[in-house]
Amino acid sequence: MKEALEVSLGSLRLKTPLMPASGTFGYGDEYVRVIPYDGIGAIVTKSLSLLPREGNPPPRVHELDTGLLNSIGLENMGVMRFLSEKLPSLSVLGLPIVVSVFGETEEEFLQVVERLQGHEVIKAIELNLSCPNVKKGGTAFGTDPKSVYKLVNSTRKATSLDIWAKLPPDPFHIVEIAKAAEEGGADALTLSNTLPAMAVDVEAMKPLLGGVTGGISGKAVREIGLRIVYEVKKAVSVPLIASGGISSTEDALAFIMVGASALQLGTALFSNPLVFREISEGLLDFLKRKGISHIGELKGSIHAVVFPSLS
Amino acid sequence: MLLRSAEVSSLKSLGVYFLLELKVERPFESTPGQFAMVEVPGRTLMRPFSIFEVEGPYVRFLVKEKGKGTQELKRIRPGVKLKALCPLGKGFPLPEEGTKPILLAGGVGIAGLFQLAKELRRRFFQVQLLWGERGASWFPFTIVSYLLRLGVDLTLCSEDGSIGLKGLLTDLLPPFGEKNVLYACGPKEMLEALMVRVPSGVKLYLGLEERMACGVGACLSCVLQTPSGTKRVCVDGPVFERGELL
Repeated sequence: MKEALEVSLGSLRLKTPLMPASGTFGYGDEYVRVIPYDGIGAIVTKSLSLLPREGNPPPRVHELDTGLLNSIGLENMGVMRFLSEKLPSLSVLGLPIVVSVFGETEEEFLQVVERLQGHEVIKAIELNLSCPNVKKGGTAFGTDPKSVYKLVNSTRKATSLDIWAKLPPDPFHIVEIAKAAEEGGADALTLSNTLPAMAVDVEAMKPLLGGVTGGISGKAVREIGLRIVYEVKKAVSVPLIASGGISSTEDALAFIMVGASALQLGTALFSNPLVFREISEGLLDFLKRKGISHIGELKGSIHAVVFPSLS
Repeated sequence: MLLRSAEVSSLKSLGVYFLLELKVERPFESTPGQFAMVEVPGRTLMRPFSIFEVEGPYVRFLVKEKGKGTQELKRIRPGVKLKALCPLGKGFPLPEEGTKPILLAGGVGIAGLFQLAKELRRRFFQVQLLWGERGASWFPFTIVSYLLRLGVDLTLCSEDGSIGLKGLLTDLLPPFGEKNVLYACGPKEMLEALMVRVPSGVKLYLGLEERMACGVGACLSCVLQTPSGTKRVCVDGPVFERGELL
């Protein structure tokens, strides 16, 4: 029955369609002594830049009733330290490693990508084209279809690893941006990053985040994300990885039904560290209850309901 | 695995504080100063709390009602099942024999020092403890009497003078020297004042509070910039020796 959740994503085969969203699971080994890794199909690391980055001033998180604001600012140890200090401990996990890559310039992106080539366990790179918490790079890349095309295409020429493009949750232009990433040569699209947002402490008369603005995640963005995956599914043929407010089996199913092949969880992990196991078990129960043999049969099923004549 | 399923076994209101007791599935040992991330039903983030006391499968947390998370938690009833990550972080190193520990608790900082006081008394150290609050009504009597029963030399300090010494704890420090080891938990302002006032020859350990999302070193929400680089309060701390921070 366990094979019922196995999915192919480009050249990757995943035991389950569930994985952590970049930035919420550290470099991948921090949770080893904390939770069982069953239920997790792949590890997605924090975004790595060429050189170490310090990130934003505190406070870096602010909890909302419906989610979370964060302004971490892509703090990371840099790709070289990651390869020497972290990769060995990730190699023993028996899971495909997806390295999230960030650069302030196209050149920096490519320099990081080059260094990730030739390591057995690294199976894919996720281009972070959409971090709202940095001044250079980040969302600036992801909101312009031309620069998305150019960056993905240059990366395509620089690596034989699978390329996932992580795009911003721009509800008005996402289809164009997604098409640009597909044309550039992306093997999958991650939809979506956090949405730029802020909060104010009116008593103290100041912003609640040290970085002033941040990215919102969690339940607050779930339905925006659903509609984005739904629209993009109609426009591209590469697999979609959904991210944004998934915290239950029902959420996971909804994203699969609108077209996601795989799912990333982030904020949900902070209230429920067992969320990977619980959702993978929940998905199996659902399949059993509905008499469906494989999770892939549900993928995009909503489209057939909405446009029965086309299917 | 640090993830433990737990059940609320009791919740006692103690004025501005409450004492939450969880029964955890796999008992553990903790070092004084370590903490737990505790699930709060309906909230996005688990909350970090100092481990107040551990007795077999029972883990207690002394919590001050502060924001939405602690308000929600105070309403919880025995029998509710919660997830908790524990024990987390690095605790207080114990003093060498012959040294005299002085514990400085600002408000809810007592929660981070209680287990240390207990452990020091178990090892027959003389323990001097100063505990500062705004006024008399803020001190939970149960905890005060527990400390007295442990044989701690307890001094209460109140900002309004309604009990014990009047003033801020940092202005009321007892005489100390290089034979003493200072352990402090409390608001940032208090810890900063201590770092300035306590001469560098005297060992000073600080238990820090910070907002956290993961509690295990993954999310980088609780970082501090220090001379030796970025530190994560959750895994590199929450206890730091003063020299690590200056």
